[in-house]
Amino acid sequence: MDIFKGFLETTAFAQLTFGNGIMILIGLVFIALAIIKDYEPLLLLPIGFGAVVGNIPTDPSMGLSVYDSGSVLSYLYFGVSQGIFPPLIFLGIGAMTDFSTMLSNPKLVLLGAAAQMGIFLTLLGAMWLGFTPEQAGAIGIIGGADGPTAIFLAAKLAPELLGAIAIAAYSYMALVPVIQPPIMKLLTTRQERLIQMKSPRHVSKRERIIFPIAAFLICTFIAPGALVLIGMLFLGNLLKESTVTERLANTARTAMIDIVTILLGFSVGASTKAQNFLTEQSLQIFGLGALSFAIATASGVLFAKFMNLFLTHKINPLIGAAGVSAVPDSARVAQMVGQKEDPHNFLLMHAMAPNVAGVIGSAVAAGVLWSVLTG
Amino acid sequence: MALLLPILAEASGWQGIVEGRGLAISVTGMLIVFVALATISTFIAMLPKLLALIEPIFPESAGHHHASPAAPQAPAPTAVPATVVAVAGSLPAAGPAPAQQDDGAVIAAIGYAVHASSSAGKGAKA
Repeated sequence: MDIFKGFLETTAFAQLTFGNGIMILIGLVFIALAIIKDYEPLLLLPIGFGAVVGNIPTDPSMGLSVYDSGSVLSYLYFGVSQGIFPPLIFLGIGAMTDFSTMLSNPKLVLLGAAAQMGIFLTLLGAMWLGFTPEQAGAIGIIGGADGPTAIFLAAKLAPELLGAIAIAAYSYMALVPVIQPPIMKLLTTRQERLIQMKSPRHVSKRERIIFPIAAFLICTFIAPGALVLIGMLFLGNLLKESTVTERLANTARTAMIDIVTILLGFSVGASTKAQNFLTEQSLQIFGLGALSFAIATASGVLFAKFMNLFLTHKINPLIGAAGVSAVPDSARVAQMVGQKEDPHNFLLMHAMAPNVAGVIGSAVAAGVLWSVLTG
Repeated sequence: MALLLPILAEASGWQGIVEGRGLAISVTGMLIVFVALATISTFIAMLPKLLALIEPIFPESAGHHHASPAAPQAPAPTAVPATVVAVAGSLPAAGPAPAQQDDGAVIAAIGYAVHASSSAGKGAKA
């Protein structure tokens, strides 16, 4: 009987707190959103399940959680806490990305830079709320709309906030189709939304091969902090564009990125233990993340309008919103909003240019923040 | 891994921004991102001109070709792949159309290529 009593005390029923219950519920909501609503299922499903796993209360002596040294989950989480998984994801992204649209219209690269304004303005907001500069930098990067970059920088600058930052980044990425359209419509006139852009020029294979090498050198000489993320991104792209390493590119953009996504999503979810996650700070991070996303979207749209003051061939300002690097979601949103005004206006291809430039921009921004805030 | 507890800065509001050098970091960061992407943009804009300059010296078609280019490209009219030259050289000057005559050989070659490719895929070792 004593043994049975002792066993009952070790069950999760006996140790479940209200916080754990809330987090398990949040995990289940994530899973439901992924399955029912199809919101970023590749990310939200593993994160949601990880949140459920991470909030099952266990006996501390068993050492099962992400935070218990030597546990299986802690080994999986090592890839997150040491910033190993994000560069591997970038390798896969690079092997998937076609930079042709960007190469055919170099002006649009600047929209990818403008959308990073959200990162730096949110940094100020976070400092205003009383976060340390390192924490503020890690929170600001949510505005880059780039989950791996946010995780990478949070792991380096503010590991104590990693769970909240990762969840906020991926949640808002999933909500891109909800967050962006109202801002885009608010900041553009109907005439602007109707602007049709000229077809992009043909880009030669040689250009596509030279670009990742040259862009890597430019970015890392200017911001060496971005070396790992940018390096892996452009290595992946070179594997793809060279066409001599098709097997490697194929593995990077399929099996490898899928494996890393599973491990990253699950271990990030498992790190959201109620005791760490359900804090006032997490709520502030979610608020700042939303603000960051909104500012990034607005910055891109407004900068496109600004560029139109000087351009003969006008840019449709809607594609400025694609400067946040949620690839290809924000480009799809630009296409969707544009087609509501004119079903014959195809913006997707044009929007992909600032979209992929945004990936480079957010990685450079992360590198800059890492250099400046740890220097 | 030790449980890390969040630590807030002592100052908040405008004081927090000033003490954390927030404005300087934001302006500098934004500037660096713009410079990096503007440099990339400039490079991309110049790249076709640079390639046009070196094209006579290193023609693009001179490089060896592998399967599955990312985008379909029109073959350069001056460039005739070596395999085509070899096949053309082995064809008789007159007779049935090459396409009809070599159908069997072409199908056999395609079959072998597919077989070799799938065998390589199955038996590949890292």
